[in-house]
Amino acid sequence: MRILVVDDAQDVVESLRLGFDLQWREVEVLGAGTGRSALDLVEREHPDIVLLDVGLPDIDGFSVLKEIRAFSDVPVVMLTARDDAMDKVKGLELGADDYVTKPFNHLEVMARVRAVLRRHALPAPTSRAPSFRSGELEVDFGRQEARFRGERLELTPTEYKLLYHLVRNAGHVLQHATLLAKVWGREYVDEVDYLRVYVRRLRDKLDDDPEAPTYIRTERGLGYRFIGPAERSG
Amino acid sequence: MALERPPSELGLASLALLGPGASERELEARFAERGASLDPGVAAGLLEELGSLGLARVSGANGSARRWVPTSLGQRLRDADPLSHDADALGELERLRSDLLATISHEFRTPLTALRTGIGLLLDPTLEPSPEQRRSLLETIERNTERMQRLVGDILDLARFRAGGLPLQLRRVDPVEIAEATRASIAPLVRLHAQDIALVVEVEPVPQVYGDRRRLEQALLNLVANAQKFTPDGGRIEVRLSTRDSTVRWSVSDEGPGIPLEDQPRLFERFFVGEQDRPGRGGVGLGLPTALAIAQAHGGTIEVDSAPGRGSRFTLAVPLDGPGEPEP
Repeated sequence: MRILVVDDAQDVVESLRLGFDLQWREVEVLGAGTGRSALDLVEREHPDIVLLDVGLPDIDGFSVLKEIRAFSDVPVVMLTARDDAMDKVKGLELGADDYVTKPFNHLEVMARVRAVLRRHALPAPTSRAPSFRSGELEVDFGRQEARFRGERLELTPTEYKLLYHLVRNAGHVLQHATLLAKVWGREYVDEVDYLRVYVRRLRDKLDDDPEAPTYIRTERGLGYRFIGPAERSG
Repeated sequence: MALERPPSELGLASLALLGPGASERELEARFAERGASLDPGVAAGLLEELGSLGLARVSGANGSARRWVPTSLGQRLRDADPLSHDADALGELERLRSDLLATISHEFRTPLTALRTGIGLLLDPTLEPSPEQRRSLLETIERNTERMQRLVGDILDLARFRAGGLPLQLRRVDPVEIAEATRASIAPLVRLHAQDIALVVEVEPVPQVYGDRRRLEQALLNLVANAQKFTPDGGRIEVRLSTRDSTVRWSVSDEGPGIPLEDQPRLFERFFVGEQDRPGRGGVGLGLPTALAIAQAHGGTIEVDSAPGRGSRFTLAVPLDGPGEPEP
């Protein structure tokens, strides 16, 4: 298991390294102090997960994340010194898997790293149910893929998981906490921003207008409901 | 975040009349030209008000009459549409202040992270760090505690200077000792980055200077710390000590990227962080204003000589006989 820690504060990298050494012996920590060296290490060393600081001296962390996503699906946890919802949403939209705010301690980081890795290691949910069809969307549960207007949809594992739970419960409201627990894990039930970002990503891919939805309806203050085929024809 | 207070009407008028810069007398004259005669001391109070709001500052020039110039924030406020003073320009002032808070918070969170992680690992009953690991964690904690202490100190010092000056502990001190002590303070960082710091003494014997040893050392250390930060690994920093016109001059040269001309007037503003000085480099924008405040409290100044690609030279110059107070 290899973890790349990207932070220009050497002391932060070193204390995380020591933390992993002490608590998780099979982990090897790679350190980088700049965005460029981080990109280089992701490409060369294929770490299992990246902890990426937002405030780097050469390229900011968001741009680094964007570049990583151009060639790799490695899980990325953003580290930031700003307790700012905008930053959080921006990171998630660019494809970050999670977000930890400084000052954190070793237990918080360890918990987030384990949760993200667990999520990534989980196989995509499958079902014996036949495939699901609604409007121009078709989800094949056996092959774990979705097609829209006849074309295969490029979905990340998290997007597929979210879509899966929405369509398996088509016609029913799924509460925020329920969806968060199913898709991200129980420790994420309060992270409604994560859900908003991923619902928006799904809507973009499904060409769905949140004001006049064909597929995903926002149930204000409650959660989301996938509009079932029965409702559509009715 | 709310403004502590907006500038007064007269304060705004002073800002408009300040032009590119003015002394207290010149400001009085400009008010008089417009038919408004100010009572004695009012102009000084107005300039202090602009200073306390970060809208004007005393320029680095030597001389008996203090000359005030608008800061870039002051210029923006002045150049804004007069009808929108209360909304846009003050909104901008507010935004800058809240950016400033974000910057300070960023600067604290990084050392706090190292502290929390280090202390957490030492206190975790399930872990058994080796003596070497324990030592390394304690060193990290010590280093980061010092960093935070410095930051708090800088913020407080600057606030005190702005609020009407910090009492100086004046006595005759040896400028070489100040330079040597500064070099010793920065040595660990210089070693870490395989840099070299040279001290060149141009005068022999070096005259003593009437000043506050601790404060002068603090000002010089701020200049040297900047030089260290911007000099590439393996590069050289030079501190050159000389005298000219009854002032002692410590010139600190670096091999950094240099500062564009357009950024130079803003260097001494609080929390100005240049393009090269992203938060990640540890620049919170307090070092230079604090150094300048110390120099000015001594009746001196800081001179800048820099251009992109050529490195920078900052010179701390203070009168050998101190800030003009009678020597006890």
